[in-house]
Parts: sequence; structure tokens; C-alpha cells
Amino acid sequence: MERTERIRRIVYDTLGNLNRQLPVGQRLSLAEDTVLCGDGQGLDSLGLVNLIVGVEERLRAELGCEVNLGDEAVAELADSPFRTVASLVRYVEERL
Amino acid sequence: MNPPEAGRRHTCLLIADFNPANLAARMRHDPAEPQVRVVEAPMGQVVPALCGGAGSGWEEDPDCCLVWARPEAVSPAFARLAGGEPVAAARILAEVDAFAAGLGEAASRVRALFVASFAVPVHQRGYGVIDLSWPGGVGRALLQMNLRLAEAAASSGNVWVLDAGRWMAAAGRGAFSPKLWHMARVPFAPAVFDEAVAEVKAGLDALDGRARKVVVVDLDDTLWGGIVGEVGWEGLRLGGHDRIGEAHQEFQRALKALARRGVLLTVASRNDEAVALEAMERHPEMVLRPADLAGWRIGWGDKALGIADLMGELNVGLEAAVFIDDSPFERERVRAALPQVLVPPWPADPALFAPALLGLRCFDVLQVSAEDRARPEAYASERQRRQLRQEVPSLSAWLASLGVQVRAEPLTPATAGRAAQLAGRTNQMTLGVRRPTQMELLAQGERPGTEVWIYGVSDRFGDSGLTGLATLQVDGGDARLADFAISCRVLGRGVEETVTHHLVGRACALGAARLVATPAATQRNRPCREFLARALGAAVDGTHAWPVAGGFPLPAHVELRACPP
Repeated sequence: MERTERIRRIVYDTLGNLNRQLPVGQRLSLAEDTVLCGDGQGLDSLGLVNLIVGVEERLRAELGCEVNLGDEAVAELADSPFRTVASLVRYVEERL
Repeated sequence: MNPPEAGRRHTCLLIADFNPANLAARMRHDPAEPQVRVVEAPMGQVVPALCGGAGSGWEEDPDCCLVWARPEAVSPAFARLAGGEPVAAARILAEVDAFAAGLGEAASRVRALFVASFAVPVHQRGYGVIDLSWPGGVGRALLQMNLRLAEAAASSGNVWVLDAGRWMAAAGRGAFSPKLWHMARVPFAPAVFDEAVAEVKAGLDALDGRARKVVVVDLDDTLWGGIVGEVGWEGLRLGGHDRIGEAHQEFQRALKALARRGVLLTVASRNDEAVALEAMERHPEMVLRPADLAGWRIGWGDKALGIADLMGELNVGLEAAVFIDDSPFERERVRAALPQVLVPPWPADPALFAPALLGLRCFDVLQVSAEDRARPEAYASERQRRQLRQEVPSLSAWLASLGVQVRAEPLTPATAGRAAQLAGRTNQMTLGVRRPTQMELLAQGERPGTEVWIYGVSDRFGDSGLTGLATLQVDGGDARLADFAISCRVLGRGVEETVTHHLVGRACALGAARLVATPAATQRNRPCREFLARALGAAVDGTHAWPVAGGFPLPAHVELRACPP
């Protein structure tokens, strides 16, 4: 499996796990253009923390990579990596 | 704190010293029954919440509570010990005692209080290799704290310590999440919370009387390796120096351990009955013998029909049964035909059979009584009774041959645990109105005008133990049956009529004019409603009534021995 696909799978699996904490109608779809955070959509602050930690831990366990997504500087980027699934996958891949 | 019946929705107050939002969300949205409405006490306010402080969530009238506090939060002395300071164990245990006292206070407001055992992250190695053996060890102190907590819970009646260490082990090395802790004050990974939710729900199932009571197991390639009809009992893979044979034997041992806890073992198999039973009798390494089985359906018919028939014979509902079979086809057939029967996914590798069985939470109960342990033998006796019934031509002659004795005793602290178990686990011969706890039964027995009775049953085949419970509350001219629960094991031999005879006598002695009972209409208590209609007369506005002045006939074949109140 190519690296991009593996990262995408890690994000989807983490989101799938997070969905178990949400009411059925508020669950996030596992799609590239799913909004993770912003404009009042997607995850709340704890949900975002859960996503960050979940993805980081799985990247470490499955790909042996250390990527710090929890740094305040990441959240403050003008083009936030947490905008959509696609932007998060792209951001992670650029740092591996 | 009314117990949920219809819809089975509990309200659980969550008290934690950490951010409980992830745990609360997973419990709230977990699709498995029962559904739980979760109320979160303010984070970190464990002691005020246990003491019933305003704004702690008690105003939501929870019927159960989960308390989860890290050891360093409960015991500052333990925190100092973990930080390398020398601390006396007695100091730590005194703080655990204070915590346990708070738990006891909180437990008085709910039907069940669950508390997570103390656990530390896997990276907390304390003093390393000497940590458990050295008196100042961190791990050693943790063991002592948990034992102290468990002992306090055991004497409480409605507090149960859940093994958080096992949840951590199931979640693996990532169970404790340092980053999640520092970013959000959530110490554990989602997998730990999933284990906790499953455990709490198992406890609630037990509280609701939903624990499974019967295992129905296949024979060929399940209880043993091979097809007995083809290879004969001598050719079966069971025990011996054979990994498959050993795995099947280990599975049988796991089943036998379940039976010793009171779960009934039965068999449903496509086989020639004589051939299969001969294998169980004669194979030298067979752990389970026919005498260990409460019943069986061995033949060439549909297994689903056989299971339904078998549960009828045992007088237990399909909701009590678990079906285990190596064949996906048979599992799917039973799952489709009998949706009430639990058919767990089953591994293909026999090495995983015993772990799969032991990992099931559906058999969890909140206490194990002497009656539970004796249940398999009691059902073996019942098989003998049925055999005698086939040999004796008339019902009355059969009943007369049994020599049934019923003992009536006022409830005592020694029998309250069993009484609560009867109230909690009886589903057919029960009013279905409520499931009082041990503490509630003892408390109501102290009230003026109220009597709580427990009944033991024996006959010439053996003693069935304490198998009946009744609470009488006198209100004006009526003696109301507040509780009425009789184990299905002793039904159909005049026991329910004998209990009624005794209760009518007690109602008369208490000065009442009528014995009245108002059963709820649950899915499974039809036998009780039909009995009350038959015995006391048809219900008027849902209430059955019997004028006590003339007494109630005692079945001629039963001897009643009633203790004074």
C-alpha cells in the first residue's frame, strides 16, 4: 500500500473510532472532503485533540514516524491542516 | 432510583478525578443494550460528589454510579510514595478507607455503584524489580489499596470493584495516553473506555436479571475434535499429546468452571444419541460427562427447534441461552430462528475456544450463592424427576412420590444476598414490578406491617435451596404482595401454591382482609400472571385479590415447615 493511502487509512480509522463517541446524526463521513474543523463544522475542541493524539499514536505504531500535530503552531497555520481529511493527509505526508 | 424495565434505560452518574467526556460519550452512544443516560459530575470533584454535593449530578436521579479515580487522587500519601518519599502503608490505607466510606455514602443513593480498581500506567515501574516484594514498593502499595477497596465493597451490598487493570491490559501498551492527559486531562485511550463501558453494562445486565444462565454447546469439532459418528469415541481428538485435543479439553474445563458458578450446560448436536452419550461416558479424557448436563437434544433434527424445546424442558427463557457451535451455518440458523439466543462469533481455531468462552461477559452476576453452585446438580435431579414422571402414570401419583417439603423463613442478613439474587434473576414467576437490592430488602423487613419471607424447597431427589421470595406489606385491609419471585427450577410441583397458602395465613395473622397482588406485564412473567389469575382470581384493574379469612388450600402432597415471623 502506498504511503499516502496508509496515512489516509490511519486518519479514517481514527475518525471511525471517534465517531463512536458521537450521535449517529453527527458522525463524520470517511471521505477526502470531510471537514474536520472550522466554520462551526466538524469536531469540537476535545474531538480535535482526540483526532490529533489518535493519528499521532497510530503513525508512531504503524509507520514508526514521529509527527507532532499538537503543536500550537500547527493549529495557527493560515492553511490549517485540520481543515479537511485531504489537507491533514497532505500535511502528514509532507512531514514524513 | 427506580429500576428500569421497559426499554431498559439506566441513568449513570459518572464521578471521576479526570476529564470524563470521552468515557461519557462512549457510554452514551454505545449501541449495546442496555442504553445508558450519562450524567457527569464535575471533573476532579470526587469527594464532594460522593458526599452528594449540590450540582454533582444527583439531582438527575441516577440509578447507578461509576466512580473512577486514580490512586494518587484518592491517596495523597500514595502520590508521595510514587514520588519517592517513604510513606507508611497504614497512612495510604487510611485514605483508602476514607474513600470507601464516601463510596458507601454514595451507594445509599443508587441501586448499584461500580468503582474502578486503582491502576497505574505501565511505565510506572516504581522501584523496578523489587517493587512488589519491598515493603515500600509502589506496586505493592497499589495491591494493598485494591485489596482494601475490594474488602470494603464486599461488605457493602451494592458496591462492586471493577478490574481496571484488566481494561488496561486489554488495551495494550497504549492504554495510558500521556499526550491526551497533558492536552485534555484524559488519561486513557478509547480502548480502555470501551472495556469499561462493556464491563459496566455487564453489571447492569446482571442487575436487571439479564445474565445468561444456560450454555448450549455442539459436540463434534466443538466439545471434542473429530466426528464421533465416523471415528468412534476412541478416535476423537481430546486431551493426549495433541495440540487440538488439549485445546478441546481446555474448552471443556472452561465449561465446567462455568457450571461451578451455576451456569447450566446443555448439548445440541447432530448425532446418534447413543453414540454421542457413549463417547461422553467412556472417553478417558472427557472432562464433561452426561451427569454434568442439565439436558440435551442429540439427533438429526433442526438445532433451533431442539434448543427451543430444550429451554422449554428446563423452564428457562430463550433470553437465558448462549449457543456455541463451530459451524457458521448452524450459528446463523439459530441466530435467525431464535434471535433471543445469544450466538457469539466463534473462532475457527480450537486453541481459541476456551479464551472465547471465558471472555464472554454475558454470564456475569453480582453474587454467587450456594444455590448457584448447586444448580447443575439440582437440574440433574430434575432430569431424574422427569424420568420418574414418565414412569408414573398420573400427575398426582408423581407429585405424591416426590415428598416435597417447603421451608418458610423470615429474611435475615444471612439470606438477604440470596433473596436479592432471586429478585434480580427471576424472570418468569415474578411480579416484574421491581428488583430490590439486598439492602432494600433488609430495610423493608424492618418496617412495621411488612414481612419478607424466603422459601427453601427440597424433595427426595435433593435440596433445591432457597428458591422463593415474598414481601407482604399491610396497608389498611389489604396485605399487598410487594415481591413474589419463585425460581423456575421448582415450579410445577405445588411450591407456588404452598407459598400462597403461607402468605394468605400471614396476611390473616397481620389483620388483613385480602391478599392482593398487582403484577406488571413484562415480556417474560406471563407464567406468574397466569398463576395469580388461577390462584387468586381474575384481575380487576390489574389487581388480583383473595379473601384471607377462609385460608388458601395447601397442596396435599407438600409438607410446609414455617418458622415464626
